[in-house]
Amino acid sequence: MNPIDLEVIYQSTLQIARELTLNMLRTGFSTIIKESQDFTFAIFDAQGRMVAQGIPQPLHIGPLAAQVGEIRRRFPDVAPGDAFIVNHPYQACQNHSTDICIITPMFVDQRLVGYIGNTAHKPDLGGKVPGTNAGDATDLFQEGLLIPPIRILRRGELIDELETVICANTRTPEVTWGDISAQINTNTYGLTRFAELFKKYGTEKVLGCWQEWMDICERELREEIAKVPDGVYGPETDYLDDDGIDLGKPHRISATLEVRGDVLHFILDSDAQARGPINLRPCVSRNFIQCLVKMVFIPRLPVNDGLSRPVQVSYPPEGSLLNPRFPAAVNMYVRPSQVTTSVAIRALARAVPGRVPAPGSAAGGSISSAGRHPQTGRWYSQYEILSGGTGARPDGDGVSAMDELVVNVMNTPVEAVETEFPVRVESYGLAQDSGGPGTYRGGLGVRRQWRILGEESVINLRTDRFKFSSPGIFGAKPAHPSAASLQSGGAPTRTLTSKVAGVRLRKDDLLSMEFAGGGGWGNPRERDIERVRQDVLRGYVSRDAARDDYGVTFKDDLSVDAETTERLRGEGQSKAAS
Amino acid sequence: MKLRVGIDVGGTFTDVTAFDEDAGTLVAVRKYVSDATRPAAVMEDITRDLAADFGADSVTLILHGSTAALNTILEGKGVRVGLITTRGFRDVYEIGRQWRGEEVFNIFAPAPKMLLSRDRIHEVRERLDASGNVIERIDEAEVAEAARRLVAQGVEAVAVCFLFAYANPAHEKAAANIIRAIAPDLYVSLSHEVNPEWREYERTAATVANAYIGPPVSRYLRELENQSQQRFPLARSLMMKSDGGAASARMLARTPIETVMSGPVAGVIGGRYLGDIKSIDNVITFDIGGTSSDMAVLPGQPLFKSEFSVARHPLRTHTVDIETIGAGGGSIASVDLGALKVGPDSAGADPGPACYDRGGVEPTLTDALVVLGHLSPTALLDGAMPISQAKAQSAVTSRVARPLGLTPAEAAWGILTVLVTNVTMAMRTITIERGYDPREFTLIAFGGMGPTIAGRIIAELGIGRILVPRDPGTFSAFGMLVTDVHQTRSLTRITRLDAANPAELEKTFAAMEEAALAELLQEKFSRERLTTLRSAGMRYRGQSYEVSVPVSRLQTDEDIAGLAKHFHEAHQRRYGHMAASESVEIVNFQVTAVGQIPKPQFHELAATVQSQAPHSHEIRAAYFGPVNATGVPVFRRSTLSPGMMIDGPAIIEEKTSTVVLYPGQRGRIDGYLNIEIEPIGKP
Repeated sequence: MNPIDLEVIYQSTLQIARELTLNMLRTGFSTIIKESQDFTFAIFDAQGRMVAQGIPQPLHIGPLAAQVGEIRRRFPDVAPGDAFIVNHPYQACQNHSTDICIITPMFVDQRLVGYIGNTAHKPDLGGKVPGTNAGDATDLFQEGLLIPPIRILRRGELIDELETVICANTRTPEVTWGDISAQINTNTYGLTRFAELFKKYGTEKVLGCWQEWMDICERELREEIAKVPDGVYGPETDYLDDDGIDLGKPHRISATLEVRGDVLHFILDSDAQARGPINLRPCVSRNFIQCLVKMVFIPRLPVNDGLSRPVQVSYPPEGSLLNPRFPAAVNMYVRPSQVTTSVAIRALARAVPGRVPAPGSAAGGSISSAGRHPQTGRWYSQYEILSGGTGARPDGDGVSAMDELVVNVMNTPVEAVETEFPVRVESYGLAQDSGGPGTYRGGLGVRRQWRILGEESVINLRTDRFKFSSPGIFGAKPAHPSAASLQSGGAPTRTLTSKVAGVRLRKDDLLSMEFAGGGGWGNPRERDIERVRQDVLRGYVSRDAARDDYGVTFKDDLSVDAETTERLRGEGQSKAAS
Repeated sequence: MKLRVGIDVGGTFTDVTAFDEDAGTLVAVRKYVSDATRPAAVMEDITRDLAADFGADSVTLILHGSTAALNTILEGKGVRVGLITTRGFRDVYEIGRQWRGEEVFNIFAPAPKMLLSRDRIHEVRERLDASGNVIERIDEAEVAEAARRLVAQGVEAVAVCFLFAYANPAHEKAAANIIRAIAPDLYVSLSHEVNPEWREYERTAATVANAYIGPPVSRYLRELENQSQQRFPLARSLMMKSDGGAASARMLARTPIETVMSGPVAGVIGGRYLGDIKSIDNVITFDIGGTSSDMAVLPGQPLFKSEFSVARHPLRTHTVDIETIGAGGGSIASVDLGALKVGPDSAGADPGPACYDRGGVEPTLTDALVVLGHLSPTALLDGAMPISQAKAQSAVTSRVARPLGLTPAEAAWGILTVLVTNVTMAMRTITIERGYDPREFTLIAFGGMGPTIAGRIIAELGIGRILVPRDPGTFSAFGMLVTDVHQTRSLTRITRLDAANPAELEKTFAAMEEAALAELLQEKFSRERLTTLRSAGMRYRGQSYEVSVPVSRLQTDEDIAGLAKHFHEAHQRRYGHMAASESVEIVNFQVTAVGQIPKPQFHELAATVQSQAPHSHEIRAAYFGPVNATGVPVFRRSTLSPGMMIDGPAIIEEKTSTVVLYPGQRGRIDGYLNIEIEPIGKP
């Protein structure tokens, strides 16, 4: 293909994906669309291969591709003007039911040439709690309305009985249907934009360009993989605290990487599926592992189906946490996604040590509370997502208060929290010593404290990493885990577990939450002494931790005590050697 | 003679435009070479020449645009800064919004940028609530201690940002007094002065950035003003601000951050003025120079934004909504993975495009346009900037044509095609994002390269008309001539509209207006030249973004209902729907006091004899993709007069730019000597 057309047609395709994203942002109703931007658009060819994506939520892409495949399989009779809706986690595959896909086939004349697909999170689809995703759900039927792949438009006509059914199954019908409507209309708008593209360049040329870009990405990725020494790396193992139901029982997740020629093969393993909602469907993890590989090997290339071809992922038998059997609950799937990312990163780091960071905190999670506002008398519902730190890099420290890959959501400003809700944020900052000690240090997690000003409030925590934390890599020490506590009147401080549903707080109670740091890189006793000193001066690391973790001590003027430091670091060496 | 002078100090060149108010015409358009190491030095030459040519007493108004503030941030040349903040919130600045944004797939996503390190952030005991009530009184001893520590740490500027200072500035004011008493030479930047709006991270970042650039930029502004006043005792000297208004050095002393977009914004204001003269409401301004393209959508009045960032530094100030992308004459073309890429890397001014013959070997957009025959080797700056056609040809051939198996002309056309695709995608994005259709707009093309490539852009976007102003290469300096003096005030106070009392709202606005007007009275504006504009940042309850709505009368409940209606309509436009039953809130109150400066009055020239045909001075071969035209006439713009028409393909050369008429397009000279370009056969 002509190199100018190759560039211009693909850029135009990406631009349409971007415009669909903007149109959705503009016309969606809920704050989930407008502020969290918890939705994704992608373009597929007639074979269901992903060609391009808009600004994505990484966790949406895999399920969307799987659902396009399912629509192709089930509906050989698609016609211009049709569109499909689906959210069913087990038919074919979805993260959880509150993510709804709309998939619209594209035609030139009567020929099927591709699909426009989007996924958008819904504020509520029924189920046992407002917001649908119940932390104590023990099967899929407690997780809201289930929609198998079905038509929502037939020949351009809305099947309005469906609107009636959906609206009858949500606590927020206007907003939920407003968003679905924006999803449908935005795809339809995309059809006109693609019709212009096909007309301008010719159908064959556009399809040829797509094909070629997928092939380019595949070829480039294979070339990069071929440079990695063949071998087996791992297994790398980590754990989730619990499933929120059986509190004493951790859940194992592990990954092994086999490199053979120009193919990467990730072999995932886990304990049996959980009763609580921390199970993870395979299409989700397959895609984020493929994204991870792209980020490591060919960061400058676009994301498309070509990337998936040299990356295989295999799973434990059905009935496992990472391959759950219908109808296992899945709504808290982000927690296992974070830990799976961590073990995959560690396996990759063994294979290509200079190109991968240490695993991050995997701790990002949400705190929600609800109550009655003392001034307005109205019910309010407050929802915040906070982060741990990223893993250290092969050439520098991790970033504080940032998540890796699968989670990318903004914090809520203190001034917004206190304006809207009857709470006072007493502090918000970085948790000293939370970053995993290493030659390069993990990023710090955040801590926030909320004082309750209303008469009563009910809180939920959807978090993890209270018992297990990022172990770091190449000789690092583990990061500090997350923690939460509650101070009520004169009572002793009460420690909370990572998954809490419906705990009652009273006026003046103080809730404190601290998030784990990212993993370190390399032996902390080999960390540059001046870096340790700067960390102490800036307060990222305490003097105690500098001594215990890094083997560096200071005099009263905060200059390094060279003698003691040398002795401590010498001991560390001989201990490591023995 | 009464002269009004616009001076646009850019990184490479400084442009000067002088307008004679008595005659109603431009009397001078000049280009000087900027001195990056001594930004004020060029002013000596400019003022000397103006005084010599027109007399010191003729100049009555000087308007500056400057990249000083922007470059201080981009080049990291600000001062050592410290920050004093509320106890418990030391890390607000470092944490940022825990958001990777467009770096979502970067496994090494960078940390938010910081202009100071954590050891220079000190907490003090003080606390306000969301309404500005004092929860804990400020501990003055702690402020003094923090100030002394910062002095010991060698800072030259201190930023102070307390939670909810926008609701009650008392604690920040008290802190400022203590700091100034301890260290009178420190520059003090206060969040309630820099950006009195909610969301503590963005306000802190803007306040710190303001401190960082404060000493050098305010020094520079004073220097400019002094130079102007020494040379031209009768002249008022003003600086363009990011919001499209102008202000004196005195007005900007505490908030130099308001001048960050000083340069690009003037072109937008000029574009609006031109649109008004021509009675065209919807315009897109397109300014492309050596390294970047600035574009703005103006559906009538300019749009504004309050959130924007420069090189990942959030600088929340009231700014004309301009989008900048890395596409310019110096954008480098390369072959990657079998596809042709252009930009965002740029050869810049040094070495510049290969054809400048200053050591550049990589082909750029400028080289491609030389190869295509669109740019003449001799016409740029009337020949003062010689161009090597051979160097252009060889760069395009060796780096693009040969590797791709194309002819040099095909390769050059490809470079233009890819760059135009990048520009049109950005233009589509900014129009569609704001709820507009690009086909309903006129493109005003300026900057050195705007009129050269605009013909291809309108074809791609389906735009029906281009307007090329006179002297497009110095149009930003022209834009400065048509601005007013602005003093803007904003205030975050969340107010539910259904419970609002019109008298209370009126009182809030009136107090802000009074403060803003007082500033302008100090600038010696007479009352009759002062007006005010009110607007409100509004939202549906529970949203966390606002839509700006103009506010008129607020005396009765009907007025409030009218305001709600305006908000619903604005929301419909911007977001495609409204929710008439939802509760509506005002989040921010905004007031702009305007000190009106009389606008230059341009005389419209009558069309000359209709039949008179323009004379071309050259026939050239030029390449237009599939159309390889051999006999393309080339005109000098200075020879064209109103009413003349030229059919494309044709090239019109002038000192600061080259206008290209594509095959199928027709150019017409209007009564102000603009060129209007439209597709032939347009109904």
